[in-house]
Formats: sequence, structure tokens, C-alpha cells
Amino acid sequence: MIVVRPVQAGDQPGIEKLIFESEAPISSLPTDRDWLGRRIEQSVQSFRHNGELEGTERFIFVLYDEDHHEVLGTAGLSTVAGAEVPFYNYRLDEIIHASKAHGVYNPVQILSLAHDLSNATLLSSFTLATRMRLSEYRDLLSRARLLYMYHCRHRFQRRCIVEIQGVAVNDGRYPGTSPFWENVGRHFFDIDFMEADQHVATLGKTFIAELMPATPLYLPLLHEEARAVIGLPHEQAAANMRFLQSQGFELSQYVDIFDAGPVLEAPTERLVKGQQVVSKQVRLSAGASRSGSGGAAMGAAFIAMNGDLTNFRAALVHMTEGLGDVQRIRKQDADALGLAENDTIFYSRIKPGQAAYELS
Amino acid sequence: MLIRPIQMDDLDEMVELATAAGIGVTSLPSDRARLLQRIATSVDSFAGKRSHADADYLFALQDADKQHMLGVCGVKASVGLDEVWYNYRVSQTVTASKEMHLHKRMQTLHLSNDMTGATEICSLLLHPDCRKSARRRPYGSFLSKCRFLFLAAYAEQFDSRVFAEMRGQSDDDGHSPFWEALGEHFFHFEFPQADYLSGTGNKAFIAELMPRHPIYTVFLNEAARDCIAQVHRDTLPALRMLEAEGFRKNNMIDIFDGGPCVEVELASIAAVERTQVATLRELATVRPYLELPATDAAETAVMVAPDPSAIRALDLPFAMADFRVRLTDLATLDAMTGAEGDKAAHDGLFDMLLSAELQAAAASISLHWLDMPLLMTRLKPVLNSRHGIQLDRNTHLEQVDD
Repeated sequence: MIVVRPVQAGDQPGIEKLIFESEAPISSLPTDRDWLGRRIEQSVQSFRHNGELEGTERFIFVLYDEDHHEVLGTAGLSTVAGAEVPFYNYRLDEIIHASKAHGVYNPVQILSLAHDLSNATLLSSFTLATRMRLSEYRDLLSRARLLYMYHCRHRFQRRCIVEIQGVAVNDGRYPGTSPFWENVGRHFFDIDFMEADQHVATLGKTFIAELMPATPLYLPLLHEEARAVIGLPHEQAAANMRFLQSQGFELSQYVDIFDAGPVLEAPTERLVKGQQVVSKQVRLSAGASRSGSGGAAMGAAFIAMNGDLTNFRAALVHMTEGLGDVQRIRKQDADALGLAENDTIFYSRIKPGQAAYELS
Repeated sequence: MLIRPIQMDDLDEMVELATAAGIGVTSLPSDRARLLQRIATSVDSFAGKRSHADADYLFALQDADKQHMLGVCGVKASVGLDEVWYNYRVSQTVTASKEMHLHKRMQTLHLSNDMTGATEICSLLLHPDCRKSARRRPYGSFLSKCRFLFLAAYAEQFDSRVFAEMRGQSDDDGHSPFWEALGEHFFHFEFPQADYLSGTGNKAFIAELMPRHPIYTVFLNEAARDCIAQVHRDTLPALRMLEAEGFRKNNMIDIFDGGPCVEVELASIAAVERTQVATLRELATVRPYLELPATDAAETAVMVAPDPSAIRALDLPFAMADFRVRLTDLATLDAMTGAEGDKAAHDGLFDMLLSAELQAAAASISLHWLDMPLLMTRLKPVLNSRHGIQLDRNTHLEQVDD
């Protein structure tokens, strides 16, 4: 059975393996061992709802194969993007240089260093094992965060954002470099994109951001290679971006300061309502003892949850939705979710064809 | 050769001169109406009808024999008071982090109004015939330097900071790499067009369409970066001349072509330091030293300095409009010094022979001159024979060194 659950300390080796496999750099999941350990511990404390962390929780969910004891993916959710330090982006603005008397009307785009997304709720750290990408498990892992927010909406901010990795080009080294970095960041740091990314992992993105020019960059002055990739996703991230858009996210006017990848945003309310969560009472189905996959394939696909904020569980469940207040599910599904007869089950439908976003 | 305030009937020759100058002399576009306006402003300024904020003086270099205008030069009492004055200030911005072992110096351009209120020397134009002729080349320097005599004579009318904007680099077709890499992105005109608009009173308007946030020059191409604070090759001699007078680049550049701004304290201009001013009335006190005949006032006089401490107390009763500087031409020079073909002597004498033409009544005459030790050794016999002036060489050498 594959479930989404809070990360545990023992997941660290599995996460490191995942990051190593990743084709696009995940700057919010550091490869540095100690750092990752601290991130995991922070998540553990956040799920325990330790009072000291209130308002600054950072949750990490893992997609976990309980049969093979394997971490298949990670997904992060931070109550606020800039909990301890400001969260920096470039904001793409347009200023008008105009004079009616002289017949001049000249809109000029500028990138301004901004940290006004600091108080938004942030989705981050999304990784998924390559073999799972074309499956509904991607929906499960990604949406688990939105569904978790459904359960404790008040803990999260009005606005929700997610950063999408920007365009990279192959420079013969893994994972390539960013045309935006080469024409912007490199001028200020004289280091490779990968190296910069490592500094982000160890020193923090804010640290680097605060070394960037505090004054706006004029787009017309940037090299066309840099201009061409502003707000565009990495090809490996394009499908994920479209998936998030299907969940209610929209392109914002913000981009990443390193690779100019887009930032998506949405009102948290819209994301949560869009999940159309239904809650019912559990009835273990008669077919629960039946073995084999024949029974598992019955009915439509749902993401089901136990609604437990500390021991949160979500899984893909195939079932037939009833009309009453009760919902029949198989025993192994209930076990995986930590649910027993008469407990409340929460579920949300997976729209048919949604996983096809992966096929692009 | 005569330097005199420009007059209304100089307009035709002025248009001709401006047309011959080409692109890049921003302050003098070959626009007849605009030139007429500038001449009128100058006439008013010399007549004392203009406030400090918009006084603008133009001088004509006139060929005494042919009655032709060979050049023009100008002084603006203060810039940026009637219309906002913009430059880019070339600055350094450092990116540094001990943790990353990073210390990176970056050149940045900041839009600035720092020159506001300063006195500008500008609009120096010499007829191409004068530029080409080796024999006439010193006229450019003469034309430029006469302004320093003027500044020295009427220092209280000017700011203590004096500057000049030097023409920046552009090719023969008028393409400016700096403009194309920067200004053109914000103001979709080619450089000659922008330059013309600028000269016709639209400079502040254009500046206000330019980027207001600092520009990191790494984002400009190499050709544009190479233009920063560099002069057009035709302007190099003018830059050298101003440098010799004490002007230095001050990290301000033109927002259009990136040409440098050079600046100096008025009192530190070499020609100003060497200039002494006195009325004839006051000169009566030094007349015994100079043995200057009292009746000789109507002629050109070449003077050596009286006691500098006395000079500071003098005032200038002269109307500005009567300001004249006469340059003795080379033939006369040869005749006077007997130094025919001696180029070094000629170059030195150009500095010395800038002198005031004495026109008015003896009681209100102003004299302006530059003194040098050489003057006495060379001109002593001339002054003696022509003007009956006896120079006591030892006395005056000491004063010169003061």
C-alpha cells in the first residue's frame, strides 16, 4: 500500500536517494545531510503542533510504499514562506515612461527585488520517483498538502504560493545552467548556477538574495537569452505547473531570483474549496478480506484521508461513492489510513484524465 | 583677433558655425530659432538683464581684418535652476560576503542632479578652417581661455564650481554606442535625433524618460562600457587643454553619450590664478613700478601683476558688455618678440598676450592679464619702445612668484 504521511527521521536516506535522482535541482531540499536532518525534525515538530512553532510550521509529507519500505516522493508545506527570514523574489513590474506632449508612451518592464510574498503559505520541495510520474500518485502527493490545509485552514495564510523551477540549458554538467543566472546572478557572484544553488542550500536563499542588487533591473538592458526565460518553467517542471494550475493556481507577477522560474499563486480558500472534500462514516466493506487486485480496481479513484492532523494519512482508494452518511471501504485501505469502523473518513475525487497532464 | 560678446547680427554666421560642427555639440544645435534665442539671452545677460539662474554668456572670436566670426564659446552662470540638470554619476557598488569569500566591485550609474547650480563652460565651436590650419590652432585655446579671464573678472556672478561636459564617443554617422545600449531602450530615437532634441530644450524631458534606478554597467555591452567617461577623438585636444587648466573628470557623465564631465574650483583654474584685475585708478598706485604713461589708456596694454594683496580689494566698475580680449596675431607677435618661427615662444606668448582692450575712460578701465616670467624677458624691449614702459625686472619677478 502506498500512502502519504508526515515525514519521519528514518526517511532521510530514502529522501537523499530521491534528490540524487532528481533531474531538476530542488533548492528547497538541501543535499547537505545535517541540514536535511534539521528540516525533517522541524517537520516532525510541526506535525506535533508544538506551540513554539505556531505560525511558522514547515510540514514535509512523504509518499511512502509501506510494502517495500521505500520513499517515493516528498512534498513540503510551510505556513509562511518567510518564517525566520524574508522570502525573496523578483517582481515583474511595468513602469510607463510617457509624455503626451512629445507623443511618447513607452512601457518599460523592470524586475524588483521583493519580499512581499514572505507572509504567504508556501508549497515546496516536491519530488517524485521517476516511475511514479505518470501515475495518480502524483495527484495524491501534491494534493495531500491542499487537503491537509482543508483540515486546519486557520493555520494557513490567505494567499498560497508555489515556485516552479526555471529554464535550464545543458552545459555538459548536471543539471545544466540557467540562462537567467548566467546573465544576471553570475555578474554579482562569479560562480556557477549549481554552486549558487549549493550556497542556497547551506546559507539559505535569503542570504544570497540580500547580496543581489537592491534596485530594480531593467528588462530591456538584460541579454535576450535571459529575457526569453523569465517566467518560464523548466521542461521537467512544466507538467507539474499545469497540474497546479488545474488545482486553482495562477501565474503571479513574481519570478525566482536565480533562474526566473515562475511563482504560482492562489487564494488558499479557492484551493481548499476546489478539493470538494466529503466526509462520511467508515463502514468496512464485506469484500475487505478478498485478496488480489480485482477488488481494488472496483469503483472510481479517490484520495481518502483520516483527518488526523498529527498522524495524517492519505491514500488512493477505489470505491463506490454511496448516497448516505456512510462510506464503505476495504479493510486494507482503512488500515493504511489508520481508520476503524465508525471513524470519519474524508475523501476527494480524482478527476478522470487529470493524471494525463503528466504525459506532456 | 578679438573676443567680444556675441551680437544679434552674428546669427547668420552662428548658424553656419553650428552646421559645420555636426552632431554632438549638444548645446548648440543648428536650429536658427534656437540660436537666435540663445544670442538674445546672451545679449541680455551681458546687459545685466538676466538673473543668476538663467544668465548665459556667448563670446565670438572675430577675425579683426576679415570681419568674420571664427568661433564661439559660452558660459552658463548656473545650470539646473530653470530646467532640471541630469547626469549619470559613475559609482561603485560592492557585492561582498565573508561566508562566500566574495568581494565583487561593480560599476553602477546613478541618475543625479549633483551639478545643479554649478557654472558651465560650454558651446565652444571653432570654424573648421581654424581647426585644420596648424598655424591657427592656438585660436581654440585662446577662445576657451578668454572665458577664464571673464570668470576671474566677474567671479561673484558665477558658482565656485565650474565644469564642462565633454563630447562623448560616436562614429562618423553619429551612432553613439552608449546611447544605443542605454538611452535608446527607453526613448526610441536614434542618437542624432535625441541629441538635437536635447539641444533644443528637451534634455530634461528626455532625462525624465531615462531609467531612474541605478544601472549596473555589466548589463551594457562592451562598446557602450568603453564609452563611459571617454571623449570623442575630436574633443581630446580640448580635454587636454582643460586638464592643463586644472579641470579633472568628476565621475559624472552625460546621460546620452557617456562623455565625461570635468570640473574645477573657479579659484583654482590656472588661468584664473594667473589673472590679475585692476582699474586704472588703482593702477596709479603701481604706476611708479610700471612707469605706465597715464595717457596711454586707449591702447592695448600688457601688464605685469602689481601686489596681489592690493588686487583683491579692487572692484570692477566695468559693464560686462564692454568686456574685450584681444589676441595679438602671430605676425605682430613675431615683430614684437623677434622670435619668428619659434613655436615654443609663440605658445607661451599666447598665454601672455591675452589682454584687455582699453576702451573706456581712464577712470573706469579694467585690465585683465596673465602674467609669466617670460613676459618680462620677451616683452621688456617692446613695452619700452612702444609704450615707454620700463619694467623693473627683479621687482616683478618676485611678485610673479608670489
